[in-house]
Amino acid sequence: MESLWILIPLSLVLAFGIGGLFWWSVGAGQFDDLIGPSERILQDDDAVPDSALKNNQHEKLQHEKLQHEKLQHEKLQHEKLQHEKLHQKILQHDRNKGV
Amino acid sequence: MSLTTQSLSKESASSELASCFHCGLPVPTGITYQTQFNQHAHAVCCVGCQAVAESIINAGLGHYYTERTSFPISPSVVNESSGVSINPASFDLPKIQAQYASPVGFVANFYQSELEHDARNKSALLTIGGVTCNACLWLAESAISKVPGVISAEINYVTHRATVIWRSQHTSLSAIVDAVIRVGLQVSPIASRQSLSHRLKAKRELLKQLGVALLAMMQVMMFTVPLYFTDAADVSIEALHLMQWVSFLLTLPVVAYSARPFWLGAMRDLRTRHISMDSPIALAIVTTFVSSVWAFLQGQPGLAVGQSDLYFDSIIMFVFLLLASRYLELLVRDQALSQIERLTNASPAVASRLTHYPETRDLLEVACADLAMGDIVLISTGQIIPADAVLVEGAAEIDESIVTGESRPVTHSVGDELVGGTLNVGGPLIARVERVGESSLLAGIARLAERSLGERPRLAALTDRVARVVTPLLIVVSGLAGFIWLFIDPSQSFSVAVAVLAVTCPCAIALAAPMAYSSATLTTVKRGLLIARGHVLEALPQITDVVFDKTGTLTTGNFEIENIETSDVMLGVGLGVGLGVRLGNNARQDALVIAAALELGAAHPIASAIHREQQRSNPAPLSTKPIIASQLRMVPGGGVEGVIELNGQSDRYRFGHRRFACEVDVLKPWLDQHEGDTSKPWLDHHEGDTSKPWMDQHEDAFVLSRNGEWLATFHVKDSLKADAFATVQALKQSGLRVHLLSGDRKWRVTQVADELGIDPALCASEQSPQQKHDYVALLRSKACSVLMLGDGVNDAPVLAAANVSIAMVSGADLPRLTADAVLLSPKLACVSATICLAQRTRHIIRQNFTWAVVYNLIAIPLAVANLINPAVAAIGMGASGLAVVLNSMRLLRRGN
Amino acid sequence: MQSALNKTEQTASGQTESVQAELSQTYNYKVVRQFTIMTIVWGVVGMLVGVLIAAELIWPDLTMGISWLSYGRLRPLHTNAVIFAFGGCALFATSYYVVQRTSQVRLFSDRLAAFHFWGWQLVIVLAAITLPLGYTQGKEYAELEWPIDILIALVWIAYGVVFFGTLVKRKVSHIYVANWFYGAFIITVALLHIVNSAVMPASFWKSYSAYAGVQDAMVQWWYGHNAVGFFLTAAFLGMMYYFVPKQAERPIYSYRLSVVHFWSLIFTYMWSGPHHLHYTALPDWVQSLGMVFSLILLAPSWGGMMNGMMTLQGAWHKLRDDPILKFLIVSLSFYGMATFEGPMLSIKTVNGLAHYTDWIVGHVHAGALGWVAFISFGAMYYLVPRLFGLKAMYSIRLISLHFWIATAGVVLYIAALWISGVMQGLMWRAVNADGTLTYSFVESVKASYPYWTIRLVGGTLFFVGMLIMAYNVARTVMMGQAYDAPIPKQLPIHPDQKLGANLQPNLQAAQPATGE
Repeated sequence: MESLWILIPLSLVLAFGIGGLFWWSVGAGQFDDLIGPSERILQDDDAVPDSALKNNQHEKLQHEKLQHEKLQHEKLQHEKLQHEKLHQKILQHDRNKGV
Repeated sequence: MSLTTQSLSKESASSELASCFHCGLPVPTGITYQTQFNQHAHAVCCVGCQAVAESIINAGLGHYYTERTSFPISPSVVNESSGVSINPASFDLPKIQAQYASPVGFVANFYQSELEHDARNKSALLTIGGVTCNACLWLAESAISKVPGVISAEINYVTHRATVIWRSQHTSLSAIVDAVIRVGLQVSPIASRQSLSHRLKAKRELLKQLGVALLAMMQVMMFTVPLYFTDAADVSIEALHLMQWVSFLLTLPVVAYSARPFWLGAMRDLRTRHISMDSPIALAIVTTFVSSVWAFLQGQPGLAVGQSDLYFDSIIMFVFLLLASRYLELLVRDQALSQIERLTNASPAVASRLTHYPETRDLLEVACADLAMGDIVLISTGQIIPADAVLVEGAAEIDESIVTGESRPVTHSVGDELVGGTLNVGGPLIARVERVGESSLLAGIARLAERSLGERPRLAALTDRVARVVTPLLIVVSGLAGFIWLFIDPSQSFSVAVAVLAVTCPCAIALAAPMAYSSATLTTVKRGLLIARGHVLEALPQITDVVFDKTGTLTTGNFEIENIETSDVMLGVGLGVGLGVRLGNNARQDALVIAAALELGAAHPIASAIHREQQRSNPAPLSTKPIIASQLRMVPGGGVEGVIELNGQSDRYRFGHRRFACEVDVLKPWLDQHEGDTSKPWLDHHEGDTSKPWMDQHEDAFVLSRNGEWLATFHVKDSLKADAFATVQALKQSGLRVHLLSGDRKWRVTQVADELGIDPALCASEQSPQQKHDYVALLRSKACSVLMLGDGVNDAPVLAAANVSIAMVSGADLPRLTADAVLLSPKLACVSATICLAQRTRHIIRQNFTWAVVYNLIAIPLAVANLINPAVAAIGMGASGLAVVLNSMRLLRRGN
Repeated sequence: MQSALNKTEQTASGQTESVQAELSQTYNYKVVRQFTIMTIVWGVVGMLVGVLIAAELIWPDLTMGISWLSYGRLRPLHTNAVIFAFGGCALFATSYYVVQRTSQVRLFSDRLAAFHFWGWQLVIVLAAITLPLGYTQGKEYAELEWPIDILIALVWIAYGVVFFGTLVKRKVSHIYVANWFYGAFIITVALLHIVNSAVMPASFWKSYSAYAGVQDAMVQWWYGHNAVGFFLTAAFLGMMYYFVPKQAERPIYSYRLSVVHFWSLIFTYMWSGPHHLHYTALPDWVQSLGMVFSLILLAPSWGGMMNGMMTLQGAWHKLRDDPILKFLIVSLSFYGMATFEGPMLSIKTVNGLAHYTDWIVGHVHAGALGWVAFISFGAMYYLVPRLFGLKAMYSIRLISLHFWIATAGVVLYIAALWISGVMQGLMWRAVNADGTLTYSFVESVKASYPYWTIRLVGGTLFFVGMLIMAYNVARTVMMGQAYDAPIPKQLPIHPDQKLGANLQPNLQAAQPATGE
């Protein structure tokens, strides 16, 4: 199985390479915060700002805004439920504080 | 899910109370604070929220309101709970700076190498508190980044710690702290960075070692696993040899680097002539490795697995499994310590020293650490007493809840000793320092934490001893087995010895208890119960009786207006002379409004009670002008006095203790009239009864008067904690007897016992500390095992009398505490939950032990009989240890 | 948080452009745009060829005997076009986008990136010419002859330099997990390509493999499977880990799990190759090795799938209205299916039935259409508006239409080939009582016709979906204009002292703070 003479040493070299990479990443603190990065990509706002839109975009934008508002309205309905729950929590919180 | 839309939709429902745009709490009627966001005006509940909201929006961080998934903690709540606000400027004092700010090289940070060379660049580690969702962290990070002069600010979302680097010539730590406070979050700089960085380094090192071992294991498995499935003859000699070479090369880093903890442990054992777990492990690795290398060099390529003496894969797997157990344990301990650190809200200890007292009133801000005996200090309203001191000037009203759990202010006069760490809720005071010492909360808690995690429960100490005896025994057995086999089949002798050594698992026995306790401790700490003594988890399952103190334990220490008794004069007050102008819906309401006006902005607990009551009863103010009191004057030990104009008439109103507000004579006829009226038990008072001095602190009536004329009496009670009833019931349901001890009056104690469902026969009222102590001692003499819950130092002897004691302390003078555990959270339910957890812990330890014993009993004979080869033995050993660790980690589950 | 900076038109010269770009501090969206457009183009081309060859299996005389349109010549064109042209461009576009945005810095070198783009297009064009003409090395997914291989290597090195250079240049300390997947993909593919393409050239368009016989097979399938593993799986997982949370506006369910996912995948992937060679001349033990590791791979793969799907926890209602999210999430379920099917197929006994049948083709297409293509569609629909200064695509309804047609296509395709594959396997191994084969080969071919027809329908539907996408993208591009997003100012106002190469100097004059 002569091909193994290449493949196995190669995988060994690769293994050491991966090990070294792992070593570096631990030392560089890549594993210190395993929650933050998932939030940070969402904080990076890549939406196109209004100022960058072409003129004929505005009509389309209006139309989209309407659609968006419709979705928002549906979201609100959904969130009302959440809100009720939160309101209950607040009242409970007040009770705890002795109000 | 944006909370902005929730607040907005809330306001559109006009029939309900509006909720504060910032903190979500209901906005009291009559409050009209507002803030502008996204071209809408939103209501906020108080000045604090308004200030914070405006800071956020003006800093361009309004994005926070659209992104957050939880309401933040209201600024007023923040102040109430800690009792003191941080003064950012204090961070600039040189001694404080030295404690909290350090050169850049100290922090592990991305920009480190760039910035280290400039010595003016400073760094600090801050813990961000009051975080309710991830948007708060974004807010803190952005707020700090916007401070001019800050080079980098990065928050770790797991630990909530911010690493900040700034140019000291352009900004300072105080500006940074200020920036965070302005956006409504808490911040505490970390002083013990040394230990933190040390812990971080240790964690990383172990992770690296683990990772290397895992990688090597996966790779080596690839070469050995197929051989388990096939006949060795199928594999060409060259291929086999190649794979052996690779296995050997992969084992090198594992033995040299990953196994370092065991080498270091074994060498330490040699030095101290004291055997620990590391020695047999190191021995096993060394012998196996050396023999394998020897066999490898000699060349045995043609043998199948089980026949060859090459154990490279076993060694790697062995090391990996052991390291995995250690890493998990380290994670749990580290988390426990971090949690404890997070519970603190330390502000640096600073004091205002009067340098040339009494000639001048010149002030100098100094670090508490710089205070010396004899220094004169000024303590303003709302400040913490910096050290034990003697009152020199001023009449003091001190909130000593920090040590006693009792939030009713205690009066002190000139010459009295003030306790360092307590809170001044009265006017400014001048005092002379008597004793200095480290009053840092952080240091206290850290010490406690180290101690609790270091002290081992008796059971754990026992297992340690067992392990210490068993381990050398095992080495002997292994040697013996090898020796015996020399006579049976010499070729097997070595492998048998190695197998026995490898398969026995003293580590399972040694880990059985400690790992369980570590996990349980972490869980309890997360719930807010700080275990200070090692034996607590062990002793809790044996508890038969639970004794509660009343005040501060079952009660919140917050006042609640129970009843307002008004005189006929009060009716007239509201109606006024001639045409009446009502202040509220009835006389009761009128009294509330006047008292509220007098107590506006006061720090006294009665003030908050009155304001709360006002919000709750929601009077619709009928008068056209808000009632404002002028010439407000606070009299320590008495109350508050002010002038209020009603219907064109100005009168002097007083609100406070009976004797302060009006002449007793005026009150007497009315009191006599109602004497013996059992429907009004609160009239039962002990004025002048000097035989029971401990009852003075249960004073619970405040009188409102006009020009010395009695208008109304406010009866307050200590509100019960919300989960007190549930906790008592839960304890009773688990079969425990619940007692109630208090120094308060009988009817009050009975009332509380009724409300909570405690058997009256198990209650005792009007108890002095000595009597309480005797009560507990009596229980113990009857072979009961007692858990006592009480307040801090005040009840120290009583707590000491119990088997297990828990102190209800919020923010504590911890170095003085003698309790076994401290309840840092106001939730009593912790206690019943912890008892359950302690029982589960005992259960799991039993499981662990059973497993360890059974495993060893089966494995050792098998190994001696040469029925297990070292590879399998290694797996067995490691897996068995890991099983114990994982079983113990079941205690980490949230919820019982 | 967006500053008002806004770049308008790009200049022609690369050098000036990048200097200007640096000064005005925008990302290099140009190369992302280029690759994005070509993804669509090559998608259409590659799938068209696929439909054509599927039709040829049913109607062999379809192309009237023209040699360069024959099945044998076109099949490798199809595989190369969809994997390297369509898939490749999608990966390049998204990796350049993700690495820039997560590092908050412009690409390391605009010139090398441009070389990457044009070089890759040249590779594809050369493939499109040489493969139909019959110039081939005969190795699956590595058919291209040696001059093109060299070009690939050069382009790949440029790609690696740009990608890793950008990471080195980064202003954010943590390297987002997607970049790890992309990085692993780049390095391993380079390694695989170089090792597998080692040949002895005989003439300009002819070479012989450096390995012989079964050795060559081993190397080839070491390459082949890892190409699938890193090119088609790991890299697209990188895509998934960025675009799913961004589109769902939710953080990844467990970032910790994603990191574990990455490392466990890296540790175990290299040795599954042998499962392509069960019951061949390859030694038994090597085959077993392949089988075991393929099975182990199930765990990390499914971990990744769960991670991606659970990201939608609390936001499942978004799926109702958002077809882009539909593409992204459904791709994950196909991913789960394919990564379950794969290990099953690697078991020797199962493989004994399935090898050489249509089941394998079905498996490939479940992964290629259901996972790779769908996640790419989702990512492209996300990117296009942002690259052309628009808030949304020209038509959301067309995206939805695309989704349903494509899903129908995939399902028809896979189902048809499952049935066909199992049927073929059973027919080929059926023996009579006397030990002779029951069926002749041609009988199995005849029996497969109906299923190949259904497959053709499925494939055509998928192709139609692709055309819809092309139309939608074209209308969107016409509506918009090239837009380069500004790089957010990383550091706040600070003094004018230079901080070093990694830290961006602030161009405004700074005010020293009062206090201290």
